Amino acid sequence: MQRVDPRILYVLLVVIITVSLVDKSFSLPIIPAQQTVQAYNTIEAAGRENPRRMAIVDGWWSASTQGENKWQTIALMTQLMRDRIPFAMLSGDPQNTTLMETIADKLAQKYNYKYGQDYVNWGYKVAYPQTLIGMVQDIPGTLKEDANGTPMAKLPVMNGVHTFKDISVVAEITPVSSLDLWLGMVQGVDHTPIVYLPTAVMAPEAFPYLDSHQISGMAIGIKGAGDYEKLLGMKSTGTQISSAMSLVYALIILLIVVGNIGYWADRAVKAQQAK
Amino acid sequence: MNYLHHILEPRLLFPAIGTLAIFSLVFRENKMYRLFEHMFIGLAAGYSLAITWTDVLKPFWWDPMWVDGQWEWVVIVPLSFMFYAIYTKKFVWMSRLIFGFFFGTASGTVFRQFAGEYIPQITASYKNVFPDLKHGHTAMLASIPQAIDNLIFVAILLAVATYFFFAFEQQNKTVQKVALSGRAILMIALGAIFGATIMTREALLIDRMYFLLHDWLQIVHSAM
Repeated sequence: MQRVDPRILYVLLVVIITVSLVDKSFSLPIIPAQQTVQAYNTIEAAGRENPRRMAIVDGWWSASTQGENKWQTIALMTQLMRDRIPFAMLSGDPQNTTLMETIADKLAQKYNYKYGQDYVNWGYKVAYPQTLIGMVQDIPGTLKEDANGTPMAKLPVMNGVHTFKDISVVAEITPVSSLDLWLGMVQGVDHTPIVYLPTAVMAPEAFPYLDSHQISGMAIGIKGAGDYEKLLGMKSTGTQISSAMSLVYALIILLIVVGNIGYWADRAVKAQQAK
Repeated sequence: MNYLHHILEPRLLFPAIGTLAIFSLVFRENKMYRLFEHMFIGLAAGYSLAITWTDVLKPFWWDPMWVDGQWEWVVIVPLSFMFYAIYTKKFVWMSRLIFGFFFGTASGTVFRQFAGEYIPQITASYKNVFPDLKHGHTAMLASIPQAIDNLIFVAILLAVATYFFFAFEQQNKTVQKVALSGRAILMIALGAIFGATIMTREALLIDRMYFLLHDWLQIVHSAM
């Protein structure tokens, strides 16, 4: 059992993923994690307390991590649009600005959101720390124009937005350690609520921030996207992939158990032979 | 016929072949894998170069000069070349000037970031480990779970901090045991990080399979 050809394991993995994706009826129960519920509730509270106050969706992801971040973005933007919360997109990666705008435009048709009136793309920013420091003082003055070159003053969605005091919540969707910048430059100054949607690999390091209330909630990777869809009452690709992921984990656990049984059996045989 | 036309569409066919070629490595090293690996590296390098021009240099340097007439931006050119002075003994002092400037600005930014990021964590580490004794019996009972939670937090914090305390040799048996338990807890945390890493890697695999089955072969159908 310890000398199984790895290629057999890869085939098993591919078969399991294919079956779980192809079979539309297949889905495992999803129990939303506490931190995802907190993230969801933070956005709900933002919409309830002041529905016309703007949210910021900050994305650092590109095509390489869309497997997790794309579904998180779709779930989050669905909630924002469903609750009629105006929002701005900001990107720390050049690819991200196009990827997020594509998602927003597609969802906007469904929820009757209008660009410039209900949402805006602030675009990709270089020198991110300096941009954030500037935004703490004056958001339109620092950004000047949106990603399409339209001056901030000509965008109705920007009416009444001057500093982070006019922002209800920041959602950080990222595969890198960009959260540190928001905590250091923005949250530490204005105490703007931040919800964090990282790739799974980034999540364990962020739990202390959750405990210290520096972030108000966290939806981790594809599991977070599935949880979010459950909370939104929808069953889409995030749920589908989340179920496939659960099956993959079940396979991994099974293989670890089988491998260990093989190891112990092998040891017992060798010990007997030695006697 | 339409389906055949769809799967042969270059926009989908090329990424599909690329994905399969890269996956083929898990079965055996092969020339297709090498070909696509080199293509990927070349594309990534070319993309980085293009994006540096279109998203950084053109909007923030070239256009302000040539479109808006802000010719003061030309100063950036000699300043940028000062970085390369590090390769000559004669002009190395010039590189030190520009590096020094950037070290100064970066350290100021980092200090601000550090304060905003870590000081709240330090203050949040001071937790009340005692139940609420001031507001009656019901309040006391209700606060017990939180007090236990806080006690576990503080005990783990102290254990891990003890493990990383290298200022003196840990000869005392109690200190050694506390440090050892701190190390064990760290191992659990590292295990969690490793598990989460697998989740990310698997998500990337599922994403590529989703592309093959949904976008290319259209076997999988979704709501969005």
